[in-house]
Amino acid sequence: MEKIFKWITLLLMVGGVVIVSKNLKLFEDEGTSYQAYLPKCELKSLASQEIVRCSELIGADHKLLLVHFWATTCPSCLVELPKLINTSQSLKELGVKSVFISLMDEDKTVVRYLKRNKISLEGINFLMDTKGEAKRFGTTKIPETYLYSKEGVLLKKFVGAKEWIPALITKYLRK
Amino acid sequence: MDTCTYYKVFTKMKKLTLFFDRFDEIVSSSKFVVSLLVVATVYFSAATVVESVYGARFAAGIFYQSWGMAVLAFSSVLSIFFAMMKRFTTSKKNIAFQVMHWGILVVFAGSFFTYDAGLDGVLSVYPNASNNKISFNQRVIKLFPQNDMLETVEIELPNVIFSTSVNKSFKGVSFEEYYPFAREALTWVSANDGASGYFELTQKNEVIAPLVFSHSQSSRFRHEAEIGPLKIYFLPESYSDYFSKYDWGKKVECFDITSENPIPLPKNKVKKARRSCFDKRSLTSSPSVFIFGDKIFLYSRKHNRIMKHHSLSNGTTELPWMDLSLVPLKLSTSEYPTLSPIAALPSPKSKEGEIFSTVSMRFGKEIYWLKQGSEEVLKLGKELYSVSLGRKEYTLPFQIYLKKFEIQKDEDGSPASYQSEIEVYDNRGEKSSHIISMNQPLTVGKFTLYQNSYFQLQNGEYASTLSVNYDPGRFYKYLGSLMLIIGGLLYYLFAIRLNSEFKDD
Repeated sequence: MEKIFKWITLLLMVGGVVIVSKNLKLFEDEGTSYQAYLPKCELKSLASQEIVRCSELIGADHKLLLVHFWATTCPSCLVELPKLINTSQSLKELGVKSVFISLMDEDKTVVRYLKRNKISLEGINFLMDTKGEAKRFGTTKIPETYLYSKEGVLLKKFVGAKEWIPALITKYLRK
Repeated sequence: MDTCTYYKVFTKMKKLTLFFDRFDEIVSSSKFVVSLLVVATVYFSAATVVESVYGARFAAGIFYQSWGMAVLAFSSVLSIFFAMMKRFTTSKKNIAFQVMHWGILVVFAGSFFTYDAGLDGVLSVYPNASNNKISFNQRVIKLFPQNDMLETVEIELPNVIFSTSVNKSFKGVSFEEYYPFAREALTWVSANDGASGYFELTQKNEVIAPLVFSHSQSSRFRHEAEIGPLKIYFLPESYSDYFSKYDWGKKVECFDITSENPIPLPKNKVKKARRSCFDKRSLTSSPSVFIFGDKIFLYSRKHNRIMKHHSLSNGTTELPWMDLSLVPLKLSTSEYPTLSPIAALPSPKSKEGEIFSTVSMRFGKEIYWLKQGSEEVLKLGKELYSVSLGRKEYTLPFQIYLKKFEIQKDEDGSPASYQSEIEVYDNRGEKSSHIISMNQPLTVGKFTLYQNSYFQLQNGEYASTLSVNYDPGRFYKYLGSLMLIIGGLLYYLFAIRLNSEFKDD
């Protein structure tokens, strides 16, 4: 009896260690990584000059949020921006909200650029990052674009300038 | 069940019981412990030697994270467990014995948690930039589509230390052989488009430079080399007559070495890779060696001619400068030299060149070697993919932003200590500022960050390398160690008390 007890104890001990170890793993699937969310941040609206909190960016009627970082000092951003604005207008009807956050720019520089390129401030969310909030997203190089779900979960990060076809975003509407 | 069957079952049970009894007796014996200690000593000594010669990754693959280690650890657990059970009594001294031995078992459990559930990677962060990806030793093939509509594909390579077959494919490209450690070696490929030669330049019998020349269009090697002020030209055999008779003047004469006929051409008419140009000034300003087939010629200032010096068929040729000699190793007109990866041992002190990981990929009829750090662009189906061999990565639940990296140097200029001034942004964007130095790690959530190393960028700034570690076994290892200490103290206390009781009696 004593011998059986000994072996059962050993088996329970080894089994227990394996089960505990399984539960200590960060993820069951080793390939899984952590999820990023829309960070807390404060930006300034170029149109109204009011402070806008990132948590206020997703409204009840939005299905996705597109956050684009750019600057007038970045040549590839200036090539990409008009195309992205065009795409964002067609995405708006599908419930995708887009915001364009300018880094290291003064208001007047951005306004001058928009006027020169005949881009209207109306209906387009231009925000100014005056406090270095881009770092909260993980952006230190531009252009970069983030796509969030309506719950604020990061779905995709686009690094560098892209050819902005709507399908690039609409495929996430189906998911 | 008839009597016969009952008897058979009984006999089997009896044998099994005897086996377990014998097993119990062996593993709980002092002889087993001593044998285990001897094996462990030899094992870890060998591991230390291998680690110092071949590096930590190789030693981990052979010793620390291998079946040998698992067998050694499990044998220790069995030995401790059965010894503990064998000597189980409720006496005070035995309680101390039990606490100590359970402590060792808890340490083993903690080590298993670290191995099985832990993560240990490296995070490199550039100044004024963020990173949230840690990379591991395990290699992966990454296929980045140029079309943003498509997702990046990752193919995991086996976590091995010796060459192995992969046999994985994606859209027409198949990955075949994986060398976790490789170096480039000279190999010869059949071709009939020009001569090639392999020599060693020696000084007082010591090799100072290998010299590989080729006229083949397929070879990456050129037909001339410069070693300090010495210039060596490997030219077609048919040029020797022309060159030995030519009276060099001020005019620069250029030759296309892919042509068998030595016809002087204007510089802009010959491609740079296949061009050699000479004039009297260039020939007199530096010592020049000419190899025409198997004959060596030298420029004579006195005669203003290139004159025959030696025949390579006689072996090593002494040159008239600084005890230099030219040793012919191979001359061929039917093969050209190329550098191909071969499996190697990861010796950090090796003089045979850089060690890297590489995987062979077959695409159509071609075989490419995809070297770690380089990339190939392939059209797979209708899409372009950039294919590279990199490390397996893991995204952390926070970003590390490097504000400043500081190095304190000794008087002699060698780095004494270094530290990273960082900002941590969690996955909700909350910021906190910290300093990580060699003796000051940082804990962020479940992870511990250590200052590991640094490297200098092209602009002179420093990037910081941090070790990022998730060790779920740490608590258990500390707990086990504490139990060991408590057990030891109890053992000591009880021993003193028993001793004094014995004296009183």
